[in-house]
This record gives sequence, structure tokens and C-alpha cells, in this order.
Amino acid sequence: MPGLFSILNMGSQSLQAHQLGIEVSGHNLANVNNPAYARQRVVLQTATAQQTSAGQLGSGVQAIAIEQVRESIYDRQYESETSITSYLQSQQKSLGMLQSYLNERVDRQSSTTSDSSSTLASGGIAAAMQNLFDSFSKLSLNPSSLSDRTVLLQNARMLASRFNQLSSDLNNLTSFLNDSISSDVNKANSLLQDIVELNKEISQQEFGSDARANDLRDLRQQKLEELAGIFKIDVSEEPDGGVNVSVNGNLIISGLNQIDSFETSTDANGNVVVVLKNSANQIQSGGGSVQGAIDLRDQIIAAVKTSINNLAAQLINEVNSIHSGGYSLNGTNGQDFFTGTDAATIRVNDALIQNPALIQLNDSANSSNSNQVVNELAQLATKKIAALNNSTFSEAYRQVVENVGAEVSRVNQRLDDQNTIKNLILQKRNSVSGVSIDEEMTELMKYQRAFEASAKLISIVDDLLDSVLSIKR
Amino acid sequence: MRVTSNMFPDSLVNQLGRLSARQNKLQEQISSGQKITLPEDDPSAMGRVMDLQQELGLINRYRKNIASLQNKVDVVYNSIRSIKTISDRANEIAIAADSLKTPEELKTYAIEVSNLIDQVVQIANSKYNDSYLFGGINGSQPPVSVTKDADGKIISVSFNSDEKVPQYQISHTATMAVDIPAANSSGSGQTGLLTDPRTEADFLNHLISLRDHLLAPDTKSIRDVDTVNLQKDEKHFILQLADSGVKKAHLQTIDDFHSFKAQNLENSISGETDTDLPSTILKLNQTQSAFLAALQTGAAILNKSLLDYLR
Repeated sequence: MPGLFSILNMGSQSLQAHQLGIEVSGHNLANVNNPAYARQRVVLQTATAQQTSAGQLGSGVQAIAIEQVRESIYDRQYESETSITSYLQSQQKSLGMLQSYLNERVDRQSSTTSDSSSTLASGGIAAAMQNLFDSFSKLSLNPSSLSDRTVLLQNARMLASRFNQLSSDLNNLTSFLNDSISSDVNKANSLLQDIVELNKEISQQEFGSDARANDLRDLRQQKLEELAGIFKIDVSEEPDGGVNVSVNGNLIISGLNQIDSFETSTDANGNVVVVLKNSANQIQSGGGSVQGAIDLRDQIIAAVKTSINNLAAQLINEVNSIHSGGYSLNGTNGQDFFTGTDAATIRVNDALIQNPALIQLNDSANSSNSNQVVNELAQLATKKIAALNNSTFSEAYRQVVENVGAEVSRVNQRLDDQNTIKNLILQKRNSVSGVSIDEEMTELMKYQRAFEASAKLISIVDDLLDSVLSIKR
Repeated sequence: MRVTSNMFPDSLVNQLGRLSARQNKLQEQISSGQKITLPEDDPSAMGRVMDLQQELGLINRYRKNIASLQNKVDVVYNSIRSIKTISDRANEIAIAADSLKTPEELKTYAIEVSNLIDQVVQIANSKYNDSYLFGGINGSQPPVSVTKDADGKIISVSFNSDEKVPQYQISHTATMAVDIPAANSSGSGQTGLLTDPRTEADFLNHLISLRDHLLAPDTKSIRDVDTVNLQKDEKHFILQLADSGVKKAHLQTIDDFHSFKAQNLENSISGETDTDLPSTILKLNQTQSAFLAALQTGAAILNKSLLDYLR
């Protein structure tokens, strides 16, 4: 039959168990605002009972584990939703820039305060194109007017400079995305190293014991989620505690070993692409910020570039084609109105800028009032151009603006929806893994009371021992 | 569902963020009076606005062109009327210059006719917007060149004007000529101001002939030839005046049509872009109410925890 010392020992064990509970609750409370943290709890178990003549007698409690409350299904879901969210976020940021570069916006106030009566703000290509055709039309009334010719040249130069600016902005945006991809790849490689290191540490700490490396697992999960923000990853856990990470079916991390890493290369267009260093496979991960940037660059921005270049090229061709058939006020011809071949290179012929009389608007030499040529130039405003899919210049440009607007709107809407989904998954995960202050305070009180009771037990046993020892006196 | 300490504030922050964004959007719509500003707000509406604006821009350009052409037609009309006044006087002189007049009286008439010739040449060579008004497509040369004798009398005229005249775009599909060349010798195309075989008008030469007959003096030729010719010129100018009047009326009709169309386009643009203020203000009020409710309930819940009841 156990004696008083056994009860003393039971009290001591109980004190330790409840002290551990208080420590774990304290740890939980300390991490209440750490988003990567999954709450922990002490697993208590009754200590082995002793056989007595009266039957089995319990010997108290013991803490057998500190357990992390985490559902891996929510972690995997959250990684997946993080990839989609990052994909859309990277597109949203750059699409917003693209939209601002087009500089097309409705400004009804400008139509009431200026002579232009235009609903559109005057900073974009649409207004500049309208001004150019407007100048041609005005000149059809008096083709020999030098002041109107000067205004025409100003408007043409404005349009050319807006094409140049947009082309430059699109190239800068492409460079920005290339830089962003390179930067993300470097960060991803660093994360891969961190995850492998954490795999090793977790494996070492958990080897041969039931103890879980909870805090290291939290840190690893945080790294995995950061990586999921860059590439869409598939994660699976090994029995030794390590995780396997693959991207697009390519195994990158196998438990304790890093199989491959990402590196950047350039394609035929000079754009950054992501390949795997060892397998040389090009990565199309289907999610994450890198894929978002690549898709935006190769699909949307490339399409806008093509459209704008085509628009500028057709404008150059059409205007020059008509202009070349005309005669200047000096009776000369043969000059182009625009030089260049695309949005980046379109310029107004310098010779015309130096001498507006050289603009070839007359039908023949010495016919300063003839306006058939300038009429044709003005009618370009409504001419359907075969190379622009039988659209007018303004319709073709409107299509570009509409497409960009639709993309921005689509990504904004999808990101709103995606944030809702991501928050929902986060809520589900937090409902399992998150720390509740109320809950932890209650736990603390429970452990505090149990601790006090255990201490009282020891005190009582101490008194009993005093009583036993006093028998001899 | 188990609700943890950060779930509620996180959710509240998300809700407040969403409501703030919505309030911001609605407030922007109210302050600008526009329901769309950027292409992303409504890409299709933005596309329609750009198309409508392009159309409105063209219509406004046509209207400005028409206003300018109306001025030009007015100038042409006034020039013809001035020439018609000269023609009236020449006809009066031709009728007055009968055999009862003394040679001195006829010479006085001849001096007056010489002045009338100068005036006609001056009108025919007048400029508009720095180009010769009656030069046809040739606006850089005086349409009428004169040859004078030693006394400074105009003894012959030649015409440098081009029979072709500029066509002006007044709508997507219509062009119109408002210019008149000083002379038309081919008998096709735009009627000449002073000379045209279709009406047998040749005003300057007829005036020169009258003057020479007055100086001769040759009242028979004046009666038999000059009076008849000047009558033809007179009819020619009446036709020209009528033609100018028709052109002016035509321009006004097209302008009225454009004005109507521009108003419709403005209405369409307004329908696409302008916000419905009462309903937008109502939506803002609803959103503000939700925002205030979220703040009040959030503050009430966030303010309390078990810690407030533990000693």
C-alpha cells in the first residue's frame, strides 16, 4: 500500500503537469497575434495505477505531450488559395498601372469647362487622335492657312508623343514585371533552402520520440505559404516529419534533400522565364505571383503592345499614303507626314515641323485652295482599315481600352471573390488552430486551481508527516 | 464554429474595409456626378462613351466647319449683291445713255462705268482667310488680271481662277461647294461669278464694251448690244444670289440636323456616365448606416472579454 511519500510524489507530479499547462497557455497567449502560430495544448494522462488490497489505486496525473492543434487539410487549402490570390494580386497591381498608362478616363467636368466639349479627359491617345483628325478637317476649309497647319503639327506631335510615351510605359512595365519575376525567384530559392533546413531540424528533433517540433512546424508552414505565394506548390508530409514540395509535377524538395531550384533565363523576346536548374524544365505553375506576372506580360501586355504598334503603323501608312499624293504650298511633294514604323518610333517629319508650308495638303501644285487630299486625311477618322479588322482608328483604340478595362475589372472582381474564399479558409483554420484569449484564460484558471489544489495536497501530506514524526516525542 | 480571439477583429477589419471602399466609391460618384471614371468601372460603357465621344467630336467639327462655311457664303452673297448693285447701275446707265445725251454727258457716264469696272475687279479679287475668294481651288493668284492703257483705263481682263472649287465635308456622307470661281468658260461645273457661257454672262467685258461705246459715243450699240448683254448679266447675278441663298439654307438644315444629333449623343453619353444622384445618395446612406452599425457593434464586442471579469 502506498505511503505518505507516495502521495507527496503524486502531488509533485501533479504540480509539474499543471505548471506545464500554465506554461503552454502562457505560450499560446504570447502568440495570440502571431498569424503563423497554431495553438498548443498539454495532453494529460492518468499515471499508472498501483495494485492494493483494496483494488487499484490511482497515482495521479502526468503530462505526456505538448500537442499542436493543426488540420493539415486547411493548411493545404490555404496554400492553394494563397497561390491564386498572389497570382491575381500581382496582375491587379500591374493592370492598374497599365490602365493608368492608357490615361483614358471620363471627365464630365472638362466638357463643361473647356471648349472641347469632350467627355474624355484630354491626356490619352483617343483625344489626341480626335484632335489630329479635327485639325485635318479644319484645314479642309483653308488648306493654305499657316496657323492651322501649325496647329495640325502640334496635334500630330502630341499624338506621336503619346504613342511614344505609351510604348515606353509598356516596355517599362514589362521590365518591371521581369525584375519582379527575378526577385521572386531569388526569394523562392531562399525559401526552399529554409524549408529544407527546417525539414532537417524537425526530423532530428522528432526522431525516436513522440515529441513534436511544434514551433518549427509553424515556421515551416509560414515558409511554405510564402512559397505558395510565389509558385503554386503541392506539399505532402513524410513520416519522418519532412515535407515534399513539387511545382507543376516537378519535385523540388524531397524531405531532407533539395532536388532542384529555380533560375531565370530569357526567351527569344528577351523576357525572363523561370526554369528548373537541374531538369531545365520551364515552369508553368498555374498560380503564384510569378505566373501572374508572366501571364500578364505575355498575354495582356503583349496584346496591348501589338495593338498599339499596329494602330500606330496603320496611322503612319494611311496618313503618309494620302499625304504623298498631295502637294505643299510651295508645289513640292514626296515628303512623308509621319516617320517611323510603330508606336515607339512614330514622329512627325522634322522637315514639316521646320516649315509647315511643306505639308502636302493640296491636290496639285499651285492650287492652294484645293482640299481633296486634306479631305481624305480628315475622312481617315471614319475610314474602316482592313489591317485593323475593318475598324476605324478610334474603334481599334477603343477596343484596346475596353479590353484593358475588362481585364482590370475581371481581376478586381476575381480578387474580391478570392479574398473572400481565402478569408473563409483562414477562418476555418483559425477556428481550429487560432488562440482564444478567453479560452486560454479559462485554461489558466483551471491549471491555477489544480496547481493550488496539488500544492494543498503536498501541504496536507507535510502536516501528516509532521503528525507521524511527532508520535516519537 | 469555434471563434478565436483574432477571428472577430480580422473579420471586422475586412467588413469595415469593404464598407469604406464602397463609401469611397459612392462618394466619388456623387462628387463627380459620374458613375464611371475609369475603364475598369464599366468597360462596355467606357467603350460606348468613347464611340459616342468620337461621333460627337466629328459632329461638332462638322458644325464648326458649317459655321465657317456660313460666314463664307455670307461673304460670297454680299459680294454678289455688291456686284448686282453695280450691275443695276450699269443697266441704268445703259438705258439712260440714249441719243438725247450730249457726248460730254456720255463721257461722264463712261467715267462712272470705269469706276464700276474697277469696283468689280476689286470685288472679284477680294480675299477671305488670306485666299482669293473667287479663285476656285487657286487661292494664291488674283482671279482677275487686267490690262490698262496709258490713261489707266482697263482695256481687257483675263481670268486666272480655276473652275474647280473645293468641296467641304459637312457630314459623314455629304460634301458641299460654297465657292464660286470668278469665271467659268467650260460651261460645266460651278457657275462663274462674272463669266459663264450657260447664262452668256461676261460682266467685265460687257462693262468695258459699254464704257467704250459711251466714249465713242455709239448709243446704237449701247441700245442694241450692251443693254441686252447687261440684262443677261443681271439675270446671272440674280441666279447667283438665289444659289447662295439656297446654299445657306442647306447649310442651316444640315447644321440643325447635326445639332439635334449632337443633343442626342450628349444625352446618350449622359446616360452612360452620369450618376443617378438620388439613388446613389440613398446607397451611400445605406452603406454609412451599415458602417456605423459595424463600428458600434464591433466596439461593443471588442471592448469586452473574460479579462474584464477576472480579479
